[in-house]
Amino acid sequence: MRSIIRAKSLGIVLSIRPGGWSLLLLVGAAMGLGGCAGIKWNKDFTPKNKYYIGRSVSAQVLNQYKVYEDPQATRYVNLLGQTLAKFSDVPEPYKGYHFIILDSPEVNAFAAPGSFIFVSRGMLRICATEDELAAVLAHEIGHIQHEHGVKVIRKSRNWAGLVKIGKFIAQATTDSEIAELADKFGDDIGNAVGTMLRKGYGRSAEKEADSAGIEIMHRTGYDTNAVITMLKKMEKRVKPGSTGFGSTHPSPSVRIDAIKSLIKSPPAKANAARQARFDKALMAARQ
Amino acid sequence: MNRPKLYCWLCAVGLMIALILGMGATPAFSADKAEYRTVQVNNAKVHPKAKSLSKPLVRLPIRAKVEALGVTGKWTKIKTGPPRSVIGYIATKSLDPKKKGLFGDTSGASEQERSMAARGYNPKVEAKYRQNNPNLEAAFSRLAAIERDSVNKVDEAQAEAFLNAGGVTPRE
Repeated sequence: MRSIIRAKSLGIVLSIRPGGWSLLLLVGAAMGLGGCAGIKWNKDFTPKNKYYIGRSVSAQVLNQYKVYEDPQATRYVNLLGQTLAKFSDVPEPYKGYHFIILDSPEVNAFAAPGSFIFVSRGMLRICATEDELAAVLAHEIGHIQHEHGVKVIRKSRNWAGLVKIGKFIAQATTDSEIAELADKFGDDIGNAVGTMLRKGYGRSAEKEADSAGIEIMHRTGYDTNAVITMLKKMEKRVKPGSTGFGSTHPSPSVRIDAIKSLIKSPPAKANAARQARFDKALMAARQ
Repeated sequence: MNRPKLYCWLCAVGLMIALILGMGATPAFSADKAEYRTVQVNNAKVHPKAKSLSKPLVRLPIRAKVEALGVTGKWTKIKTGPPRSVIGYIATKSLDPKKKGLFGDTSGASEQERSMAARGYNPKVEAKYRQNNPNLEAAFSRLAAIERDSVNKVDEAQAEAFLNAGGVTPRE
């Protein structure tokens, strides 16, 4: 026997066997009770989740590179980077932004999830002005804004293996559950580090980060032409197949073609005070 | 009314009650049509204007509930709860994502999967990961020192002074 409900005003016709009502009732009740219990079914990675991912990724970075210990240079890079970050779409991540100089001759800069941004001394050496360094840092903030590091994990995770409704509610409290999650966490961190340091996020992600970086520079008031200047320098310095920036980013000429139309203002005049503070703060770091 | 018909009607009424309960639990569709959002970061800043360098009126703790009044660019205009009700602007990305549809994204299994998986990244799991990777302990300690270093934190006033001194004028 079938019971039929017609709701003409909504144009809906439900045709369900009596037994089917029980199932519908259960689904409805589950939705209601789920909502009442505060279970958020549509949550993705929260800023806190991203912070914990980023901290472990950053620990792996610091296990491979030495931090450059220069308080003056570190303060300056943080002043510039954190100022730019305030003009981004993600001005306040879970525990703030941290800009770290790596004592490496490699020309490189990268952003870990959770807002840890690394720039090498090799990269500082090829920046001649504050605007050029702003272009590098704003590009990395663009990666964080678009969550490129987290997207690597989203793609790689074996989501299905983790869907267990009981565990979902209990939020992994037993030792074996924590051990299982820690193993998966380790795999994910490995994936994220490999992508960030060796493979790169890919052409479309770089284009997104370039575009976001230009917008951040524009909002902050820096000369967006510095992005083109930096890319031209990279083209000269970074050889195809080289490590660091050369292996993780598309060819600078391809990037220049993609972003030319985004640069709206003519090159700005140099500012003596800005140049003097750049030279002073990074004098030792750029040697 | 015969028994199968009565059974169907009872089920229909039960279903309606359950659906109403579900709708009531979705903040975006509460009775007064107000939309409530939750703060997702530590010490979220509420600015008086939709401007990045405006001095924050107040800071909100993580999980604080706010009423969303509208969106302007990257900012959401909000009203904080009592005792001190403040209206101001907060970065939209500092709030939990807006619910989509009547019941949120309940239909997509991948969303549930992501939600479950995202919960894997927490202090307990990180502690176990560190235990499994003792070679990273020095790096974690260095990172903790960097995070603690208040010298390198930059507030709105410092950012504004930095830009002014360098002759940089924001175009926001």
